[in-house]
Amino acid sequence: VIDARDIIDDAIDSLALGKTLEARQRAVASRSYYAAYHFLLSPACGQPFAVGTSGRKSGFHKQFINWLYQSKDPSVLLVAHKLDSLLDNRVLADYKITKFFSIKFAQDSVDFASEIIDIDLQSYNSVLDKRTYP
Amino acid sequence: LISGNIDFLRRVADEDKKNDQKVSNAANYLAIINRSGIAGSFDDHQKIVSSVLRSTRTWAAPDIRDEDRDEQSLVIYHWVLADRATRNRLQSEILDALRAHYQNIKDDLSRSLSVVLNRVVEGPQMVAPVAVASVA
Repeated sequence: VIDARDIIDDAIDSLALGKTLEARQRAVASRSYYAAYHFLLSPACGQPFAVGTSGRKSGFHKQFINWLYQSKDPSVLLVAHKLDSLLDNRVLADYKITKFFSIKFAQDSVDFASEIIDIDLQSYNSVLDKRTYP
Repeated sequence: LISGNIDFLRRVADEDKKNDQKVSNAANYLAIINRSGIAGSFDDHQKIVSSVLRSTRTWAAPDIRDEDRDEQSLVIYHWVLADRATRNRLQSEILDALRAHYQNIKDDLSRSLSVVLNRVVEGPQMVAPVAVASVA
């Protein structure tokens, strides 16, 4: 079984091996978003949201971010903003394929996801798991 | 839109309508803001963002997003010439300033954040032109 760390590690390796390939950069941005998304939706963080929205199919990604934005905790707001930026990079990477996609977006995505998974959890998991989905 | 002047945005949308513009970016931005109910707080929100970025921003541009969401939302890119640590600091400063402002006016920050994503992104490095002397 893999986890979010495995996904972001693979994205980091993938970017290092193909820095000049736009298709690779886009794939890295997409993977990075999902690494952070699955990590935040895991039992330690987003379980109340996952339970409250089970069975829902559309609008799920942005809805999750909006739920995080409702937190009063500054560290959770920052995490929500990073996940929102990651989603935006994934939209650019996966949907806007005729638009220019800079490697800076791919690097940004890897950095945001790594920060969420490696650093930010310490400060926000104790807040999130006490909240319920409205 | 970027610096927080919704009246100006309305005037541009009106002008576009008078001129029978087929596509009006101003009208589209305005429709998102109005539909989400953040028109009253929009100007101050964007003025706060701009005040934090005033000395570092080189360019800014908005876009509309409708993928993976129920309602359309806005993203505004603010390009700055700064390293990652500085960009992260600026982004935190923006969120802190917004949080303080919305607490002060007793309004819901999450509503605005859900509709308008202000992103601090790394601007392209400028390369100075190099003069090459030609020798006849």
